[in-house]
Amino acid sequence: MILVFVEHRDGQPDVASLQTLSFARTLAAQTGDSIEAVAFGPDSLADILRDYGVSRYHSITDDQLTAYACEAWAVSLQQLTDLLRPKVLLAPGSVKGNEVMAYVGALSSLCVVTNVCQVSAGNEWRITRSSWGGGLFENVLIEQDLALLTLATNTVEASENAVDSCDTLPFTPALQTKHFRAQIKSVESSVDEGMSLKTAPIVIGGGRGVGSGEGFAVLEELGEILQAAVGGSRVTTNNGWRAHKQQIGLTGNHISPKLYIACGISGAIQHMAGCKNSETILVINTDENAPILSHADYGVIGDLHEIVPAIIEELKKS
Amino acid sequence: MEMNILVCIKQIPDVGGKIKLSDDGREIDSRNLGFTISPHEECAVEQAIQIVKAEGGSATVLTLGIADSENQLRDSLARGMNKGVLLHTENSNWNANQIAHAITASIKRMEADNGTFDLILFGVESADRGNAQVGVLVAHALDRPSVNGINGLEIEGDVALVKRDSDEGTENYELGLPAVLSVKDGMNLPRFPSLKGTVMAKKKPIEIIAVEPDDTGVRFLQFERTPEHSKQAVILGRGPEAAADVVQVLKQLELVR
Ligand SMILES: Cc1cc2nc3c(=O)[nH]c(=O)nc-3n(C[C@H](O)[C@H](O)[C@H](O)COP(=O)(O)OP(=O)(O)OC[C@H]3O[C@@H](n4cnc5c(N)ncnc54)[C@H](O)[C@@H]3O)c2cc1C
Ligand SMILES: Nc1ncnc2c1ncn2[C@@H]1O[C@H](COP(=O)(O)O)[C@@H](O)[C@H]1O
Repeated sequence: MILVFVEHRDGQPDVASLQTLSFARTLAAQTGDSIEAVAFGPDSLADILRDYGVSRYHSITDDQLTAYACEAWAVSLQQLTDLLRPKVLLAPGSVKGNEVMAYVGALSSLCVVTNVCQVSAGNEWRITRSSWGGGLFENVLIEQDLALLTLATNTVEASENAVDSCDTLPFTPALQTKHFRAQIKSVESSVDEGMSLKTAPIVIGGGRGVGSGEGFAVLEELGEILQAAVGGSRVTTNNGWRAHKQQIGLTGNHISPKLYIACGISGAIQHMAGCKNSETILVINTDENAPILSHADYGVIGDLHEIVPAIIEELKKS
Repeated sequence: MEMNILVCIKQIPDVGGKIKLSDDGREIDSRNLGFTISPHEECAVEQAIQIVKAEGGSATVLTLGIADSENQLRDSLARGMNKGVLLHTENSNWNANQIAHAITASIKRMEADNGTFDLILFGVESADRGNAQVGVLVAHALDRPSVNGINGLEIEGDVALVKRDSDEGTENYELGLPAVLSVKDGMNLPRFPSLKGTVMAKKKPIEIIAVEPDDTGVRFLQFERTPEHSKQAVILGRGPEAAADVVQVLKQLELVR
């Protein structure tokens, strides 16, 4: 049996969890296993879980489990896993998914493989995971009876494949006060302000080639004309030229605009990790051998401080 | 309250735009490359320096790696950390559990000699493997509370006020010290080492301890390339003369009229 940990918001599983259920189905097709799910959620989750191929839903309930507490969640999962003895416990590779699974691994003295992209389940289980910020795959062998895995986000698409029915089975873990040492006290919902890097149809990115915080003025001006959001590489946030929340890349924003205009950015793998889902990439760079040109659709070779003002002029003309 | 802080960092080759692998695929070909640590860890180091400045105490930086990792310890010392620990190994292809076991053992030894670390800081994920595991594994082994991927930290007496961004918004936690926290890039603006700091760092102590990996249930085989995005961009032109062509592209994409 393959046990999938599902995260949800008000009874609606998040996309990463639905992707995880879809991935579990392809794995189950290899091993001939059934899929069961576990969540800290309401009974009503069963309906949607059934649509995604889950035959049994283990609903974990405990009076203290009002807000997320990593250890308490992990202890609950570990106790359920001990009882059900699945071959695999699979979770989404989200902030909480990775955190809870790390604890499950710690509790059961087992290794966890995070950010999994592919599993081939033969005599030996060979796993391919995303490594180096998505720049490399890493192959590992599982040499333990229970595979503890988290799935790299967007590895597969979430797709339905309903089974006839899904039973809800309540599970009450044995929890202690100390498992709630790190529990959420409150949550402030974040407010989206103005043109955001995540939603803007055009994003302009500046890198070390911009030269200074003041140097961003031309990118801002172009941004205003094109109604584009302006962001930067880590070099620019690290130097204090841009605020960190405008960083694009692995440890910043992940963008997917129609057009990304990358100015004075070399194309480090960690930068590309955040912008490779752009539909079109246009590069302005003095170096015709910059690595970013092999990820881009269009390039202009030269100094951005000459080229961007010329583009602004040209746009004003038309 | 005087704070005794430990920060764990990992040396990695600074790979840039393309990664070259060794012939057996088990290593990054790091000839001609510089070395660095993950931005998450840089923020953890910065946070430790700031806390010790404000509260007094001592900040130790630790790494498990090959002898050359000492350079990354020196870099942190130059920024303002007080002392370093190198858990030395010839081959650093260790998995998260092996790393966590060795780090835990050395923390226990250090704490027996010098007292408890009020805070142990990690990066949320290492720059190479990105397991997002080691911090939690150490926290559990030491039986301390932990939060992974934090964006904010304030110390109030013997409590850590912690913020973490998730899909839901900003989560607030209050953890009793001692605690283990994994830091996310962006929590602060890491300082660069000063010239004076670099000179002083040479005199700061680094303890070197040899370590061996233990047996665990996951075996590393090799790295593999991801499908390469070798598009080769269409070069529209050189210099400002290309502006008209850029506008043409914008029109084609129907992004301007
Ligand atoms: C774990 C980890 C996570 C990271 N996360 C991120 C991340 O989220 N985002 C990120 O961006 N980086 C990240 N980095 C850093 C990354 O590795 C690179 O160091 C960084 O992206 C380089 O920024 P850059 O391209 O601006 O600078 P450089 O690599 O220095 O490139 C500057 C480019 O500008 C060009 N140039 C110079 N002058 C001009 C000019 N006048 N006009 C036009 N072009 C010019 C140069 O030819 C060069 O190509 C991370 C690193 C690690 C290890
Ligand atoms: N070899 C190492 N030496 C010291 N700290 C490490 C090492 N590997 C990982 N860490 C720490 O653990 C964090 C998480 O690593 P990982 O679990 O590999 O993603 C890193 O950001 C470091 O703070």
